[in-house]
Amino acid sequence: MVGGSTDRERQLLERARRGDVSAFDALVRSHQTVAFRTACVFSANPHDAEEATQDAFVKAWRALPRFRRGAPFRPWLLAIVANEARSRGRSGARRSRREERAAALEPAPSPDGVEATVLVRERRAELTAALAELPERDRAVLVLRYLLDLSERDTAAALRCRPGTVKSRASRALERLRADLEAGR
Amino acid sequence: MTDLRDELRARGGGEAWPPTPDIATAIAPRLAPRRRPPLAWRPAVALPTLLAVLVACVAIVPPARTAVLELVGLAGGEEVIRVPTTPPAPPTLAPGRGRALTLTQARSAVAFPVRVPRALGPPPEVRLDRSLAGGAVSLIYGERAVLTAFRGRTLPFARKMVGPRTRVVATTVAGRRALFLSGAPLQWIALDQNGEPQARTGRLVNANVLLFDRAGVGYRLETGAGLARALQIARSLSDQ
Repeated sequence: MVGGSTDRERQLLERARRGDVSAFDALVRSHQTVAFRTACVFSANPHDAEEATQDAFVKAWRALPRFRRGAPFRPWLLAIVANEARSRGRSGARRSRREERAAALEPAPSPDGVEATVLVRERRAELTAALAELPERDRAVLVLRYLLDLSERDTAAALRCRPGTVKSRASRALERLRADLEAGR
Repeated sequence: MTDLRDELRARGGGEAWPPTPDIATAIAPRLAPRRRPPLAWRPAVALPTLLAVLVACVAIVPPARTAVLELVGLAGGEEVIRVPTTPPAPPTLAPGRGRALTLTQARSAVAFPVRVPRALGPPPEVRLDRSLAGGAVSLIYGERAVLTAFRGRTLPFARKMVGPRTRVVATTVAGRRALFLSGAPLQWIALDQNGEPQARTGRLVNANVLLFDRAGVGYRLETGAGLARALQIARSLSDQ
């Protein structure tokens, strides 16, 4: 995951700041996957995450004229996405049961790959279940930092904390996850 | 531990997530044209529009004809407008000073310098409010005083509305125009981080407020003290 903006992205940002919709469309297409997955981390289900992602991009479009030139785009965007998903979760029907959170990370049924042995499936199921059982704070940092493979800076933006906090929080969450997995065996 | 990290990364491969919907296509109809600030919030027309509306209200409502209505000042980029009655703040926009943190953390979290008034010394409490564009840092000295600093870019959009019972005195801090408000509480409006206007009722340690700016940073000093002491505090700002 590259945290800084590329030359092409900077050009797109500059054009989008001036109101070029096609440039913003290109930006959306290059970031919509990471944005949607980030929203999944804070949403009860993929539908909520999709709505939050849409609204976040629209807000980013409106706020672009005030976006600081030269600043990295992704952390700024992910902060808006996470904020939107969180506020939607708060105002929604509080459907954040653990099963549903786990379901938000579950893959769609896929053809049975050769590598998908029973053992791998079981281990993945254990990991998913253990992640879903973690406190919200721990779960979020692990999913963003490792499952989504965001940089510390991008993770910090989504979690509204400092990059140094991400490192220490992720370390504690890993310890807890490891303990939970071992206790479950 | 490394193994667990690797496992998590492997678990997070593309198939671990729901398919990404076509966000770009879905939002396309909502993007063009870019929504400009509502008419009433555009700097070029905001004040004339507001005044026109208020004048109309004064003309229509007989009891309001005697009300004072004027632009009473501009300091630190903040316009202060006197209106017959201050509108009630929306209940969902309750003000807050944000999360607590250290002075060092606050200084690294915002793009403007956070200065401490030597006249008050190190602040016992520091808070960062990220709901306003650029963030606002409050140095809180218990019930004695609160000094809030915010980025200058927010300022052209800031409006303060004061009622007839608020006294406004024009003064200077470091040669720049400043305003001292005392008496009844006030209401101000600023833009949040998404550019949406937020109405906020002044939450004051008491009713006195000194508005000033320095090197592009706007300041709001709330204090129980009078004008002389407020000016002494404002003029003692230090980078240390």
